[in-house]
Amino acid sequence: MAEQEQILLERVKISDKKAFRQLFSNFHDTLFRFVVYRVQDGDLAEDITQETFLRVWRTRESIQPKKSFFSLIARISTNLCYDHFRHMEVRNRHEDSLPEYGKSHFDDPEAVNAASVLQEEIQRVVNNNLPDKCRNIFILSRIEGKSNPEIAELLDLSVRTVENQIYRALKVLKKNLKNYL
Amino acid sequence: MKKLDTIQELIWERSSDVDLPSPPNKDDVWMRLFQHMDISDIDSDASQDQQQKLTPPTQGIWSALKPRLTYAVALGLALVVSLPFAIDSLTTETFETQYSDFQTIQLADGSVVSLNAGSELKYKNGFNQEHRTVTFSGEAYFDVQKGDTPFTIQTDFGSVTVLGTSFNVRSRRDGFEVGVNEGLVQVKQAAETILLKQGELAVLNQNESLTKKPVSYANYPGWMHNQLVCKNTPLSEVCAEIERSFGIDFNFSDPALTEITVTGIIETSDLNNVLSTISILTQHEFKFDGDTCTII
Repeated sequence: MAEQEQILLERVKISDKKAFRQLFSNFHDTLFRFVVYRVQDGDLAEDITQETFLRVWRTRESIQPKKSFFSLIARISTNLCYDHFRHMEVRNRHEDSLPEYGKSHFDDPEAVNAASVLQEEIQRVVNNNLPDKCRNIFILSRIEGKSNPEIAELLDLSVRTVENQIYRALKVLKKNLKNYL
Repeated sequence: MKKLDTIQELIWERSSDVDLPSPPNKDDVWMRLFQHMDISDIDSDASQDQQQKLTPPTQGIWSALKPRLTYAVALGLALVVSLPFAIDSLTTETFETQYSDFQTIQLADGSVVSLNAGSELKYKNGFNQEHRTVTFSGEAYFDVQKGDTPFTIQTDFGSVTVLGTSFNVRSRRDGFEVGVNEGLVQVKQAAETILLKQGELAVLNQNESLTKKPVSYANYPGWMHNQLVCKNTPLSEVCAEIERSFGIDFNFSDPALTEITVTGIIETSDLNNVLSTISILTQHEFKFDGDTCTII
């Protein structure tokens, strides 16, 4: 698979749209879910996903085919997410749908047992408290349901690194969620 | 994975069932993306000259760092990639060729298979010990070593059994064909079984039965000699073959054009030559933009 990815990337570099379409269809859904977990808005995630692929196409001449394509698009989309949230009006539009920073269970005692609160909190901690690399791996593992070897291949990392990062994420989550458990 | 305590396990469980919007339809997104790509290509063509003057110096540092990174990445990749394959290969071995890709493989019994573009060959473990059965789709030339166990090729259309010979199998969506260069081959399709001798060809026709006829040209099968041999072959079939061999697309300005039949030998070593030969054979002009050929 990685070999095929490299061949496709080499073709994209020389402006082969067919190869680009193949890459697009291999990675679109994964990238979308990856982005939507962070922005919590289907339309915005769709825009960011499309913009990510467009940027790859615009800068295709500088592609390094031996490097993991997914880590490239993960990086571009992460930056685009930051850009979006830096815009005040965008932030306002999504303020309601984003879990509030630092909300504690004492504000809403009745919901303490609701699974949804914990999920919201997990999401908040993942987005605010995990370093990029760690967060990316965690989302791929839990949201995309990818196995550790699959993630390792997508991001050009060793399986051991993936395992360590997931373990690290769980440690951070545990520390930040101790009021909810 | 390291050992998790109960709280970590709970987090692990919960974190996977977050309710998220599902991805939009890929084809729709691609259509929009495709338009944007075209627009950005036009824009960048216009500004390219200026950009080139601005960028060069930064590249040097990167290319100095690149080799070391490349080795690390390659090593990591090799380890990671080999893992899922190792598991998969415990039961099945698969060989596959993409469009514009050819591959020759040698099997454990010494038989040699040349895979044409867009083909796939698989066999279960125990090949050459317990069995000599392969599953196959696409087109390939088989040079089978003599052996006590019959060599069987299973396709979507029917199966081919031999003891040791050289022959070509073509099993694609548009047809099934077996032609023999040497030895004796048994072809089984539904309830029908026929035997083919050297120089004979079996073709599955419209009413789902096998027709036997002589191989009518010397360099059979053509694709092994960089030739596409056509005899009243519909243009759609000829173009499909070229799409596979060169990884390009064909468009027809008029759908009726696909019905034209072509007769002649097309040399396939050079794409430009192929396209101009088709133009001559069909008496139609074409436009080619690098990945799509439109027949007018």
